[in-house]
Order: sequence, then C-alpha cells, then structure tokens
Amino acid sequence: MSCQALTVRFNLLRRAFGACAFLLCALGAHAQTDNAPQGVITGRVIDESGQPVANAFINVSSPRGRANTSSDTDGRFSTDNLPRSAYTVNANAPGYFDPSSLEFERGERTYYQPGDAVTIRLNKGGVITGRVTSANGEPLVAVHVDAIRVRPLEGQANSNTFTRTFERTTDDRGVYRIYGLTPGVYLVAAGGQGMFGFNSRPSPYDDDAPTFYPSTTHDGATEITIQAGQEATDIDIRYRGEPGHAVSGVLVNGQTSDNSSTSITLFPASSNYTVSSRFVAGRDSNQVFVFNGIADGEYDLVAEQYSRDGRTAAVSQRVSVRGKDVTGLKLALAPLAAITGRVVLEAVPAGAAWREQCTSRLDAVASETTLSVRRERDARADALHPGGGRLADAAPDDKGEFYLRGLAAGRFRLTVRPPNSDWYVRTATLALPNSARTNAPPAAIRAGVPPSAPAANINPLFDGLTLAAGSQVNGLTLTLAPGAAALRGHVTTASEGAALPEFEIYLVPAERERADDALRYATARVRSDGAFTFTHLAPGRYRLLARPAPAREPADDQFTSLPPDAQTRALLRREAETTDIIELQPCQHLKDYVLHYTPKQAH
Amino acid sequence: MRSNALLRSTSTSARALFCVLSVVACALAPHVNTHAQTPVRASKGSAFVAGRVTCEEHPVAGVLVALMPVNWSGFGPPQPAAKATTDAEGRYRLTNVPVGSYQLTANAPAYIISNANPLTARQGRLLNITADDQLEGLDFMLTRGGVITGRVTNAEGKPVVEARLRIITADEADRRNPQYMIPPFAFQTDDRGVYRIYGLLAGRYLVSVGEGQDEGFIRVGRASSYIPRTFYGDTSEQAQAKPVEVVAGAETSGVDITVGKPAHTYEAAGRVVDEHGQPVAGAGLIYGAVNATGRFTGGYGSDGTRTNERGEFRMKNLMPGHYGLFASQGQAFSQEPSATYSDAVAFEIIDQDVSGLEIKLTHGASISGTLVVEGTNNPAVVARLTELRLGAGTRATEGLVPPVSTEAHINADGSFLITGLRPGKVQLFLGYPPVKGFTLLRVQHDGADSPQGIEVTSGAQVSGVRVVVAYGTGVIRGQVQYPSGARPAGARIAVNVRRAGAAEGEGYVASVLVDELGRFVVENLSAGEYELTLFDAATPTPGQRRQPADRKLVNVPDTGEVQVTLVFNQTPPTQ
Repeated sequence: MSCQALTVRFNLLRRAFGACAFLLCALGAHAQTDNAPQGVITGRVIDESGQPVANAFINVSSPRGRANTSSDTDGRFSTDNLPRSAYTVNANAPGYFDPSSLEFERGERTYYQPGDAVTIRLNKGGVITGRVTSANGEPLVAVHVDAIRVRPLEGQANSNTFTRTFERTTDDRGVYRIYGLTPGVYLVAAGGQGMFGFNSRPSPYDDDAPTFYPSTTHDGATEITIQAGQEATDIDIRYRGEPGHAVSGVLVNGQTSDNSSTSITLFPASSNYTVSSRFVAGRDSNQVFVFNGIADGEYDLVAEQYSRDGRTAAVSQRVSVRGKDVTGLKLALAPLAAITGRVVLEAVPAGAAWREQCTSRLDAVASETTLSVRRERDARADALHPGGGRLADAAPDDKGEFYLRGLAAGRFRLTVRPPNSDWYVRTATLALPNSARTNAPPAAIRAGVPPSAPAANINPLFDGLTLAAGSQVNGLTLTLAPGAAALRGHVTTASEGAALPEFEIYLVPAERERADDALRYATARVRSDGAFTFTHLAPGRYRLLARPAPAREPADDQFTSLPPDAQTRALLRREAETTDIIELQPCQHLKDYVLHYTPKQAH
Repeated sequence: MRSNALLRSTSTSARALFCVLSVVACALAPHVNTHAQTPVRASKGSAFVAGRVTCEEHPVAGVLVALMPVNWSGFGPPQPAAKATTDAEGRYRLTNVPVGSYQLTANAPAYIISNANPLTARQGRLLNITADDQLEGLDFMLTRGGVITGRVTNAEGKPVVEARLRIITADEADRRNPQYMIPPFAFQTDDRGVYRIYGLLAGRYLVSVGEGQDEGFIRVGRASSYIPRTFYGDTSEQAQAKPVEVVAGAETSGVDITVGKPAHTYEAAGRVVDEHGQPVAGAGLIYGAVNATGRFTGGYGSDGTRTNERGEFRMKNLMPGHYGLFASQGQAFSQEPSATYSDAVAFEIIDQDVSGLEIKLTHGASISGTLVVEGTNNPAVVARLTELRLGAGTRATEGLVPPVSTEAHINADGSFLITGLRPGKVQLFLGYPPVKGFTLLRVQHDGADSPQGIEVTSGAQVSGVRVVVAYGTGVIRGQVQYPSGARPAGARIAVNVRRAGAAEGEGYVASVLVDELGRFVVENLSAGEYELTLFDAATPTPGQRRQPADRKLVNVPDTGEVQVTLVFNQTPPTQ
C-alpha cells in the first residue's frame, strides 16, 4: 500500500479532506485533473542548516483534491499539473517536523497556487526516550510506548490543536526512543495493544490499561514539554500492569459492496487525541470491533465511514468504562448531511479607475475560493475532536459549484475565504424551500426571518444552517465582488499603562441602506499588542467600535469573522452613532488607524 | 574473517533472566515430556495445555504463551484461542481450550527457543487439541538472544534515519534454516542513525541496509531516491561483507555502516490500449519483479497509477531492475469481475527512463454454467453454495503472463459466469475465502470430465459447464507411531490425503502436518474412501528421493470421526 507512517496517526482538523484513511491511501494519489489544469507547484525541502532533505513526503492539498510527491536528492519536488485552487503545502520526513503545522494551529494558513514555488524548512523533531520496567525493576521488552501530544506549548487545546500520537516499542533493555516530535506538551504511556491493535504476535501487555509516565493512570500523568528539537531523556516508566477492560461491539450497518471502510476510534471524552483505532472493511461480513486494555473513564466512540467521495456516514457514542468490560455495543452509522451551492465572481467593471490600486490578481476564478462549515458547539461540554462530521471544507469546481459533504446533524456556521485579498463576499443567499427548487425538508433550514415572509433570502453566514441527519441543503449562492478593502489599526485607551482588557472591534456600516445587510458588519479580535485587522471588506463608509470582549476560544482561522446577530447589530448601530466615519475606496488598504477606547460608565 | 566490532556482555538488573551460553548444546529434537506422547484420557472436562518456560534452569516469568489457530480466516492478525502469562515459577496453564488445530507459541522476543524444531520454530508447535486433552509438560527452553547494534551514516557523517536493516547468516548452509531467518526490515535506525537488533540466534551474520536490484521484491512507494544495498564493511558486494559474530546473551556493538550517495529512480511510461488499438482510460497499472527466466517471482503491487484520458501512464520511482507490468480495467486488486485480461510486458530499467511500453487489454473469453453439490440434498448445505467463490486461471504457457486469476460468485440458483479469461486451458478452483466443508470434485464440460482444464479460444463464450463440489463433515483422526520412540530430529512429518482410486496426479484433497504428539486431523471430508500417505516434508538433501513412510486406505462416513494409526517406517533413501 502506498501509505506511509503506520505508526503515526494524524488527528488534524483537516480530516474532512479525506486524511489518509488506512485502506484508501492508494485512491488519493492523484490531483484532480478535471478540465484546464493550470500549472504545477514546485519547491524545495531543506533543513534548518539549509541542507536539502531527500525523500521527504510532500502533501499538496486543497478541498478539491490532493497531490503527493516526494523530494529528490536535491530536496526539489514538483507536482503534476493542478487545477486552479488554493493549496496548502506541507512536508514530512523521518525525524523532522514541519513548522507550518504550528502555524495552522494558531489559525494561520499560507495558500499557494499553481505556478508558485515553495520552500519548506523542516526542523529537527524533539525526542522522548527512557526505559520501561516492571515493579521490581526488570526491563519490559517489546511493549508499545506512545508519546501523545495533548496541547501546544502555549495556550489551551482547541479544535485546531494538532494532536498526534507517536508510537514505538521497547527493545531488549526496555529502552524506547520516540523522535521527530512536534513541539508541544506530551503525555507518555506504555502498554496495551498499540494504536491499531495490529500486533504481529500477542504480547503479555495486550490487555493492560496503559501506564502513564511516571507510573500512573491518565489522571495523574506528568506532562512533558518538548521545545523545538529538544530531547527529554530518562523518561522512565514503572509499569503497573493493571488489566484494562474490553470495549467491543458491532457496526450494525457498515456492510457495503464497494471499497468503503469504516474507522472506529476511541477518544477520551475530555480530549481529542486518539486512544486507539480499528478499521472495518465494508466488504467484510464480520463487522465486529474490539478494543482491549481500556482504562476506566469516559470515552467517545466515533465511527466514520469513508468511500471514494470522502466521509459518507458517521456516528458518535459516549462510552463509560467502570471496572468491567463494555460489550454488545451497537453502532449504527447515520448518513451525513451536505450543503451544495454556487460561488459566483462578479466581473470587474471595465474601465474602473481603482483597478490599479488592487495588489492581487483580479483574474481570480471561483475555484480559488475556500468554504468551510463548522458545527456550533453543543450546550454540553463538547468533545474537542473533529470526528463525526463536525466540519467540512470545500472549494468550487470550474463551474463554481461546491459540495460540502460529510456533515453530522446540527447547526452549522459557514465561513468563506475569497480567492485573494481583492475580493469580498457581496451576498450570501439561500432560497427558502419550495418544492420545485430544493430537496431539503422545511424543518432542515432555520430561517432568520419569520415563516410568513415570502421567498426572502436568509443569510447563512450568521444565522446558521441547521441540518437534519442525512439531509441535503441546496441552492446556497455566494456572490463575490472585486475591490475589497482592508483596515489595520490599533486600540488605545485613555489610561495608558493600565492593563488592556480583551477587546473586540466591530465594524458597522454607516450607510442607512446597508444597516440591515449583515454581511457589511465585521468583528475582529484585538491582539495582545492592541492591533487589529479587517480584510475582505466591501468599499463604503463605516464606523468602528471597540468593546471589551468575553473570554472565548481563539478564532479558528483567519477567514471572515462572524458578523453579529440582528439584535446585536441594532445595539452596535446605536453605540456607534457618534463615532467617526471611515471611508474605504475599492482596494484601499488603510493602515495605522488609531481607535480610542473610552470605558462606558455603566452597562 | 573476524569482525572488528566489540563484543560486550549485557548486564541486566535481573540476573535470573541473564543466561550465558555455556557449552550445553540444547538438543534440536523437540523436548517433550514423555507423559505427553499420548494424551492422558482422564475424566471429561475441557482441554488444557500446561508447561514451564525456563532459561538455563531458571524460571522465566512474564512470557506470553498462546495457542494460535492454524486456520485463521478473520480480518486482521490472528487472535489467540487461549493465552496465559508465565508466573514467577515460569509456569503457564491454558484452560478451556476449544477443539481445533493450533500453534503453541511462546512470545519472548529477546530470547531464542532452544528446544524448538528448527523447521517450525517460527510458527510454533503444532497441536491438534481434542476435547479431553490434558497436556502437561509442554515446556519451552529458552536461551537469551544476541544483540547487534551500530550506527548508519552517510559519507558526510549525517545519520541515516529509518534505514531498514537486513540480516542474513554469513554461512550459506544456514540460510535455509528457518531459525536463522529474521524477517527483513523488522528493525530500522532511529533519528541518530542507531539501530539495535535483538533476539538473535548465535552465529555469524551479514548486516546490510538499502535496496539491491533484482532481489525479488518490488518497491511500492514514493521515495524518489534510494540507498543501494550496503553491507557492514562498507561494501555493496555480499562476498566482501564483514561477518558479524553474535554470541547468545551478549551484545556486538559498533557494527557501523557508511552508505554512499543515494541513487536515482526512474520512470516507465507507456499506454494501455484495447484489442482495437484504442486507448483505455482509468486502467490501473500493476507491476512485479521478474526473474532471469522471465517469470514473475511472486510479489506484485500497485501504487495507484492509472491511465489518463489518452490511455497514457507514467510509473515513477522505479529502481533499476527487471520488471513485469500489466494492467487492470477495474480497481487494482478488486474482486469485481472484469471482461478483459491483460498482457504482461517485461522491461528493464538500467540507468534511464523507459518509455513506449504498450499493454493490451483484450476482451476475454467467458465460462458459464452451474455449480452443484453432490451427495446431499440438505437445504442448509445447498444454501451455502452462494458463499463459494469460483476461481479460474488459464494455464501459463510461454511468455510472461500476469500472475492473477479471476473469480466469480455463485448465484442463488447455482449459476455462475466467469469473464475476462485468457485463451488456453482454464482450470477452475474454489477461491478465497475457503468455506469449510466444500471441496471441488470435478469439472464437466460437454458431458465429460475436464481434469486438465477447459480449452477456450480467444473471446469464446463457453457455456454449460458443470462444477461438482462435495460437502462433508467427516473427520479422520490419526496417530503416528515412531518405532524409534520419538519423532526424528529436524523432521516435518505430514500426511497427504487423496481420493482412493483417482488417477495419478489427481484426486488430491488435503495435506496436514502431524503435531508434536504424533497426531493429525483431517476435517470436512465427504463420505468415501481415501488414501493417506505419511512422509517427511522436510527438504531432502540433494540426491535423495523421498519415500513415503506409510500408506493406508481409510473409509470415511458421512458424518462423524474415524480413527487411523500410521507407522513412521523410515526407509533408507534411494539414489
């Protein structure tokens, strides 16, 4: 099979792109070559000292597909011809990590287009090494040891967190060495069947609950911080050898006649790293799964079925392990929902005087847009892991049509990343259903307007879309226009030197006719140095307002921020009435705007 | 040649586990407690297997002993039917063992099992467990394995990370001894270029990294450069390699290897066309290693390359060597029947890309007919016919032929259709996965049996073929007696089962190994008379012809068991 790295499992946010499901790797080997491929992405992979890295595995992917290639002895690589889209590029090679994964975690992403040349600098990965011994000091041979990255060096884990579990086994001295680690905070655990349960021979540790460094269960484990390239030695584990329990059951409806397969993954309920994974092939008449060596605790069992088109069905179930085996589980996959629609790019007005102001390409095409939906967190403490259809990304094809698929039931918010900084979203509409136009049952769409209104359009960008299981919502149309403006500035307060509270900046349209156009509102979070940035803005007149913000999770990404709901919009308009008006011309990038914040007397 | 590597004893904190190899030569004959030569028939109860694991008289605790089923048809690695870990006395007891055929294995990766039959040491000790078995004394005697460790760097002194090690014995005579066969690529270097191979049988070894040409493997993957095979001694020639001495319980360190510059891989390009010369889009390409006589050596694979709309393909990252390439209309390795069969094209990569390869997919012949079961009308049995898969392959004549066969499923009414057949003599067989109890009796075409296969011409549609299977649940339980008192050392005793009265070379039903206690079992036989032949399946020394040690006829009833005893009469070898 053409898939690499059997001992490493990605739990990236981007699983929606069809991340390397074990059995499907060979299918994903090619870039989509539908009509008019437009060039290649080339580049070079080097290490920290500038030396080439040969045989690095390079992953070039966009929601339209991915292309993989490897670097030659000079570290150089080139993809095949790729269709126009926005691509991310990352690489991996044994012993190294790609710093772009840390950027991704912070919400930053760099996109490339066919014709670009990329330099990827790989850094030496960190190392954790030590010995595993029994209670009386004897070495444990060939026991699995996992280094589990649970959060980044700074900040809490969020749904962007790059969790990754590296696994090795001990040698005859009980020594293990796990290398190539991405900087972060780790837990180390020994024992059990290994991440995939694929032991070539049974071992005495198969049914044990893992022992965490130094010699505890998960709750008492000591964290290990790994900076870039750092080596942590003497991470010795005194093995407890406590039997874990079995979690087993059957996939009720996973049988297919094609090459689909279902991955069944166990996550701790409060975290998003993988405890263990199993795979059930669609053609296999035996649809049983068994996890051994599971410690007491709360878990989420997530099953996801993948076919050629990506994730097609999923189910998630809470499992409690309390002192005994949990057997007889029945997982019934539920079909996943989808949203389809079109992205239309308006033509650039001929002879527009402002064209020269625009820095990026105005010849963008719809397929360079990236769309993303994420499910809103449930009222209960939601699991952090992305399993089960909480998110999807898509890019339009050459006709501008897109398909966001593989979504679980729930309420979703859409974010749009235009092709480049010169474009903004002018309208986003979803026609209310009538029997001739869409397939979605009325209950599937939650309108922001009263039901009695005629076929008015609702704005899915902020009202959200509620999807029923397996439903398909059609007719989402996004119109993008050229001439987007940008605004950068920083916040100052009268009381210099006092600690700045966390701020959010609101951009409010000044024109009366735009007061109800929710897309003209924008929100940006202020960074620790007081700076803020708005991009992809429609030209026009605006007012700015700064307000202390409630503490919340850092923004998932740098896409268009969510505009506030109708009630808040009215509130903001009232508050902003007295502020200055900023006028933004097409393609104007206004920098160094200073916004004074005056604390309110009362709320 | 002595290696200049260091020999150093390991020191472990647990002296009880550290065994220095003294002069004691553990007999290669299986060490079986004589009480267990015949099973103790005690009162009815579930079967158990028990014994002790020791290393130089010291008990070894924490060793997992397992009974692995011989016929595993589940998805994923085999699961043990019973397992236990040795206690502080080194004792284990496997209880509630279901009836069946198993390999008894002791998993202690840092050790060698010194009382194992070298021919079967890697698989385990065969035991055909019956319901009343109470087997004691299934002991394992271990010796501490040896260790080879070193570092792999390149000419600039930089470590080579995740380089996979290959170890073969320095003495060619030992190379056929399975105990010396270490799975290739089981050990690899870490981020410092350091590797550590443990659990080795004492001896002299050649250690290498990298890939050699024409070794019978094919390389599926994306790495565009590779390290040419380099032995310890920094040479690419096996004859020049420095042997490494391994002593039981000791570590041989400093076995460092310096590799040269990575070598380039190349591309092979071409087209897939149909029999009219029209391009075939979306065809998958499969390639395998080809030996000097122009035959596929057995391994083949695909990296997912498919032809584009113009039927063109480019296979990348190929090492120099001899290859055979063929195409597949549907998904590579899928079970879906295809209407076409492919040529195979041989090509060699020396030091540049190869282009202009052309592979033809030709519309194949088809065979249709009915599959029936003889000797029973039991509707439960007839209903299971749809679980069978009928495989078909054309007998290879000359030239390079893809080493694949096609399969068809059986419809509810017993009919089948096999398509995409190459012209020639087509053999039918029961395909994978096997369904217990069914054996192929005969294939009939035009009213006559076709034991040599059915002749099909190009594109023909042969119909009216009748495939007759038998279903049976009869069982033969046998016991082998050794007049010398014990099984000969180094022997691999087996029993061949044929239908009595079948013509020479036909009627083969099954071949089973005789277990450690001299017992064998043949299951799922249909009623009839069978001929059993007892022989030693160990590879004979050249010049010797194997003679059967015993031969008997057995009548098997419809259901139930029949017992038979065979005597291992060792006849002198004939010239």
